[in-house]
Amino acid sequence: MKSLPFAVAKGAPAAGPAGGLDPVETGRSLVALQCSSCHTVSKATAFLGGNRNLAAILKRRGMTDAAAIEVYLNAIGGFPYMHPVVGTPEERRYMAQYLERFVKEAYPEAAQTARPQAGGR
Amino acid sequence: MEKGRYPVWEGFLVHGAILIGVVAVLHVVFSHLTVAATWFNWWVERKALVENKPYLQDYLKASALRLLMFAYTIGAMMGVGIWFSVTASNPRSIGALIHNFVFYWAAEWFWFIIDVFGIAVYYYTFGRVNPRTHARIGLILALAAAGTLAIIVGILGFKLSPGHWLQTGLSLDGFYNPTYWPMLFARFALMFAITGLYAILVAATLPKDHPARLEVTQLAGKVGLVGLAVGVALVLFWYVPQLPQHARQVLGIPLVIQPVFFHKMLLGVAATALVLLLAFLAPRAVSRRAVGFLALAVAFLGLFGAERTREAIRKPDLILGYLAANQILWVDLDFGSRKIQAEAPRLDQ
Ligand code: HEC
Repeated sequence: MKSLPFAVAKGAPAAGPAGGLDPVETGRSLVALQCSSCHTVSKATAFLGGNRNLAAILKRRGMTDAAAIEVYLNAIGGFPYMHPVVGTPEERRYMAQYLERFVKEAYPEAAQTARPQAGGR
Repeated sequence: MEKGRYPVWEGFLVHGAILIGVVAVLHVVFSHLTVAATWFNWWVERKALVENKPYLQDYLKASALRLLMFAYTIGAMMGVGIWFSVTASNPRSIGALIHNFVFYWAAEWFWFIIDVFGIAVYYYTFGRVNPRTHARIGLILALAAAGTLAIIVGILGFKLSPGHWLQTGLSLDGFYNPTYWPMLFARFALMFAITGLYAILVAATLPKDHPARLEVTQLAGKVGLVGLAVGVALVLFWYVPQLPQHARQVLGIPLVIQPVFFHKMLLGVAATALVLLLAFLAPRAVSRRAVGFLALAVAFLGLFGAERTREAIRKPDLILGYLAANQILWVDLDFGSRKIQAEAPRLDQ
């Protein structure tokens, strides 16, 4: 475990509902860790729209609910400028849940009209 | 930091990358200015001695005072600012750099101490030591300034083109990487363009009828133009061809390198060239503070485009082929005596 500084230490409280941690907040940590170096991932840094704001990107692709976002997260690959997502299936689900919340925070109107168009490019 | 969150610094109001970018480009402007200005001033000082033009001393004093008060001070503060901002945003990559290059940085700080004390010595010894000795102090200052450049360029280039380091893990291989020499010479040339603009600005603060005013403006235009032309040529015909295949591919992806980056660079180069050319041809028209400030602002914009492009073409990695921007290791590296194991597959389990 010492060689994996970003893995959860053994014996630490488990993530997700079982461990008493909010899955969306867990997803937020994971998204911040993996994506925030290149994307704005929360309203905290969204001044003037932010930098490659993930809420904007996902909204533009019509992905405003967790299920569609999760499919998309798993499909990321083959971009020369971006590595695929890492994490267990559970962790990816949490990331998608957080991203859904972020999109809806940024675009309240998307909360009503959510109609997934998975796989859109 | 809230409970349950791994400490990740996203930025403050704006994205962390923008903050680093602004701090770093300010550092680039001032540090490049100080390096080339020490050479330019040494040259002017020799001219004053050899051609017996003591009035040029007035320009030198004015220049050295502003270098000491603004360029060195702000430049050094922004240098520390880079350390703060990059450590907060990406501790693991700065850790990797320190592991590889700590003694190179130690060496750089020797140059740096000579350089920073040197500018104070240089300014306060005007008229107090004999002129030849003073010119020699200027030369020591210039050599030390160039020394800092020669070291930091190795570490800077390593991140984009680690070269043989990826096979050997030897820090010297990382330091003398494929873009080391082209970047060293390109930066050394381009910084004379910035210094040219600065010299125009400083000369414009001299009294209207001062003989140094037009003479220095013309010299600045000449030196700056040569630096700009040589620098741009080196970037296009030596630096860019030396870039790793991956970087050249990303350079052509508009989603990553937006056209506005190129527009900024073009505008910066064109405006700088125009001002320098006019300084040479019509020094009287250009010798105004407003022109100097405006030209430096546009040059800043151009540098912002250029440095951001250089930083962006190593996406998705911070150290290309080794450490990802999000601090995850993607590849197995075998240095013979030690091995680095990829983490990504294990993080999926
Ligand atoms: C190394 C930097 C980097 C990291 C880290 C990164 N991305 Fe990206 N991503 C980019 C770039 C560059 C683009 C292209 C810019 C654009 O589409 O506006 C992009 C585009 C995207 C897109 C749109 C892709 C498309 O269909 O064209 C999505 C969705 C995305 N990123 C999601 C993520 C998620 C989720 C993460 C975290 C797991 C992440 N990115 C991490 C750099 C990165």
